[in-house]
Amino acid sequence: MEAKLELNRKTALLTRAIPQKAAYSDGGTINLSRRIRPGEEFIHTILLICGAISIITTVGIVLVLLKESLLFFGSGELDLVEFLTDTVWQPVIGRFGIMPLVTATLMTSLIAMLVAVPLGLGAAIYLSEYAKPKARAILKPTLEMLAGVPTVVYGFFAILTVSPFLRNMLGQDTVQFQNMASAGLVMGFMIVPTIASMSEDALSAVPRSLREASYGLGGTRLETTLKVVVPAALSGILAAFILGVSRAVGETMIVALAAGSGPNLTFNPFAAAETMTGHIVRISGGEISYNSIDYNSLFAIGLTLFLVTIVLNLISQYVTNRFRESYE
Amino acid sequence: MTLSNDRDSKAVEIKHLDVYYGSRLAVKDVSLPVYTHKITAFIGPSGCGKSTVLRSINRMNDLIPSARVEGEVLYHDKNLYGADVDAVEVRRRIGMVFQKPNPFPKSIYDNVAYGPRLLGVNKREVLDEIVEMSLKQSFLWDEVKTDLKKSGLALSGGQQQRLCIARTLAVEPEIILMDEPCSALDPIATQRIEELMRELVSTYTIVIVTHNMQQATRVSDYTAFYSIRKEGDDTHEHRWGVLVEYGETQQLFEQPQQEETADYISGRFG
Amino acid sequence: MTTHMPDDSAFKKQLAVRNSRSARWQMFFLAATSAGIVMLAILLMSILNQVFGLVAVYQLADPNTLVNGNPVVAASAPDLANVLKDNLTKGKMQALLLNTVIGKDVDRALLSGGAITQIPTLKVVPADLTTKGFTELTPDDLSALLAANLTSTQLEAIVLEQIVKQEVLQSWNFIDSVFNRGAVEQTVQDRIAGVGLSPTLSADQQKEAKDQWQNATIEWRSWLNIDLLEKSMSATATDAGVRGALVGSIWVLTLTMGIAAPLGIGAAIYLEEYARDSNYRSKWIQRFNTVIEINIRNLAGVPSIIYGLLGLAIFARALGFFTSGQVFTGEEATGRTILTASLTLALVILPVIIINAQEAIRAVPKSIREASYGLGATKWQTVSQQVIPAALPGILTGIILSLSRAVGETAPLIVVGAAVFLSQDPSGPFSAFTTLPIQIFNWAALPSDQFRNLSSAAIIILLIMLLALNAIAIVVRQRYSRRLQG
Repeated sequence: MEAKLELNRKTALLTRAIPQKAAYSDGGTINLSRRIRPGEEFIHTILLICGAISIITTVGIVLVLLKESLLFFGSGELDLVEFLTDTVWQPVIGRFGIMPLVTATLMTSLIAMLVAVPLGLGAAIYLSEYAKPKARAILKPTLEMLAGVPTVVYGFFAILTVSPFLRNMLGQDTVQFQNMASAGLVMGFMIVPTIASMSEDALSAVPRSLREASYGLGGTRLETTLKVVVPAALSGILAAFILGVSRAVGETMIVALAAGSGPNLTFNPFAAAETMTGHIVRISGGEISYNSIDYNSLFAIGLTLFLVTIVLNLISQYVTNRFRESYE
Repeated sequence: MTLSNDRDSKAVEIKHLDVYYGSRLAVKDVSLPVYTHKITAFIGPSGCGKSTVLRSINRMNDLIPSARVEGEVLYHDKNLYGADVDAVEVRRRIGMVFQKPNPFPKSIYDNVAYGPRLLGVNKREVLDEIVEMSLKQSFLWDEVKTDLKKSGLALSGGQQQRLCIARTLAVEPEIILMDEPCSALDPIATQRIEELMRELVSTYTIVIVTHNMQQATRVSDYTAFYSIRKEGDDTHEHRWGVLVEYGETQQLFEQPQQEETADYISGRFG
Repeated sequence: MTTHMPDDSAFKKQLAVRNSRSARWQMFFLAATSAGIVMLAILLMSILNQVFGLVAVYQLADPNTLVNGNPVVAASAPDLANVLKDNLTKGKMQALLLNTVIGKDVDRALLSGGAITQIPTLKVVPADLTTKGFTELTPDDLSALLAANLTSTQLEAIVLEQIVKQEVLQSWNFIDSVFNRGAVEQTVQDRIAGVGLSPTLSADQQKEAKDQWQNATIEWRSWLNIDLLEKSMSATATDAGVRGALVGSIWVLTLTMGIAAPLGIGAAIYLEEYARDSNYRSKWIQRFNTVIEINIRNLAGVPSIIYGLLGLAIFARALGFFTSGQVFTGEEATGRTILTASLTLALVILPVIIINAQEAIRAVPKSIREASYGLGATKWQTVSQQVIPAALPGILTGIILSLSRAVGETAPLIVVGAAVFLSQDPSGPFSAFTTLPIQIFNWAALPSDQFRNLSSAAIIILLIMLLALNAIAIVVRQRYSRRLQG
């Protein structure tokens, strides 16, 4: 009886408190019509715009790079063929051949990959196949700290320690103060965590059953790893390598400090040579005047850089996705 | 208690309901009434679409991007899938209790007050009253009244489920849908929930999906038995759910009209 | 039946070889893992090696006995002004008053004729000087005016700069300073004897240099000190500090976060909660959403220097009227400002914030959303009251981690036009700017040892900022996991 009273009180209370409650308790018609909620629509629009910012950014990058590059090629000083094939970049005498910048970028990236691929893959294999959970819990975050160090610090380290070390080892005459080798070496260490963590993901995604099959046939841990697990994860590992190359190509501060401060067409790793990114930083540092050919040339280099990295990233993503499908 | 008294008063009437997920048919041609102030139980083997039908009563299926519904669900003479119907309006009148207790990561008080607050009830004393009433109705009040500030997640499983029921009651729905509300609970907690359902049915209309036939016989007034239909060979098999039989619970269990129903309730199925 | 398998002894022999090969490779894998960590340790040590060490300091006067036998520190303003008078010519004193108190922009007519009380910037004038003109002031008068208008701290700095003129002749790194003290002493002796001085110096300069070395004191110095934080840009290493750069970094980071965080969270909410909504089944919208997703992943891989070019062309140049503050002040100014830097950095870290926030939102259990919708909540009510609070710690962690990337980001900021020299600290969104990593870059590129020491000290500050941000992220994450457990 008391409970019933309480319920009645409650109904009265809610009738007052919650709008339209009365409507359905006495069987009257109720209104379910779609309500217009201007607040909801407004918020939806705002959020859509936030999402669209990324598209605007990409479009902005492409338009800016294209527009300034067109001004550069439209200046009458050079054409696209000359830009791609001339071996001298010397704006003062009107020579704009991107070759020396590209070769320097390739050299530093190559040296970086020579360091990063064996170390990164080795670390990935150790962490995924060998390390006990406790060791892994310490090693992995410590290794990832390498990726968190600002690149300007790496650049400083390259000229402070690595370059003098190389010069002491190989002779002051052989190794220049700024050189592609020290920039590349340090950059390699910077890329190790990227390759290690992506490759490790790929290795861990290999089903246990494959490993067990190999052990079941009497394979050692090394044989299982190198002959079964790594081949099965190969495309994922490949994607990691490609992403690593893309990082190396786009890396700026290390090469700006350590690789060289002037375009130089050379394949000698101990010589100084300026990369595409290093050149952009050196020329734009300081008050560059708009509308000069120097200003426009930066965007032509930028466009080249953008195209190279975007292609590398797309390939890496494509390979990763295909890899994922094969196990899902 | 005579069942026939309320025969004419249907809280919901489902007519020729088909549910698709993408292009795949999940439930085909379900029609049944849900009577006011009665408990209707949906039973059947897993994959028979009983949960899908339940979730289409308050348009919960809208939340699954690929879901599509054909047919009618009539509520107060209105098709819930009519062009002009607002899903939010529907859900505040037809509440839902889920399989796994899912309290918000908030205090017990805030869990219960969440619904009323959505509807613009912000006065402290009114909220206090609603929270107390709802927790009393769900028999949780005595266990939690001293620490309403405690996190809802700190309660036991059975208490969490009763908190979820209290949370649903707080917005005063007309119908409560329960999707296997006891499947994650121990027998004692299950018994408490079942008792609670029998209490609540005097005020609310309840539809419950259950895996447990004993539970259906214990608590429900009407029962709908669903089953699976198949088509195609082993490699390309299509499966969908159908309603096999619907009736008063006692009758359905004692004198099933369909052989399939009889097989299922006697344990001879699948 | 014959077997193709090796017999028992052959197998055993072969197995030993296989096992030892396995062990060797395991060593290599472990070495590969450790190599990076060893490298990190070497990096830290070689930087710390530059931060502490011996220096050869030369000063014209001893600051500890300069003020009547008492130290410059804690001396009163009149005493310090007297020291200036005793050591400087009248012309120098006039110039000092002009530069530090009156200001160079003063109307020259006020200096050549009329009483000094007419000069508006000269606030305090002692009673006995009110009738004098600027040119009639004696050194004593000038000293009195300096003492009356400047604080003792300001005068102390002037005394150090004008009279003590401290100069670091050479610095040694920590390892040499501790383990190779003999070589340090030898260098000093050599320099006094004139060995190892720059060959380009003239005979007079050689003599001066030898004298300086003769009078130099060798002392320990930590390049990481309070002075470094208090001083700003300077062409001489002893006067240089990171204050302007640090203030710039803090401004840029604050604005970057203010711009990127709401945009990033908004985009993540859109992609996770709205884009998949069945109410928006239109093919066009669906395709648009897919494009956004792919695009964000690609943007995360674009080199940051490209963003710099975008910022240079759009924010600094095309929108220069806005980013320079011209629309607000009407003054013509360049668009190479804090605001431009922040907008550019915001775009750099936006993809990272979005991807992290998406993950945090995806981790919110579906049951919480269902419970909320089941009670009749609208989409935004569910998102704002259930999803965002539950995902917030994860979102915050992502934002903090992306900030720690922004802290060290250098290339795009150089490209958009960081100031080569800052005459005053950045004071708002429309100020010219430099940041800590840019300061490090500029110092690192200089040949002098002392700037290398400064660079290293600045790196330590930068690394401390980074560690602090990461520590905050860890704390946020741990509190989060505790909360989920109830």
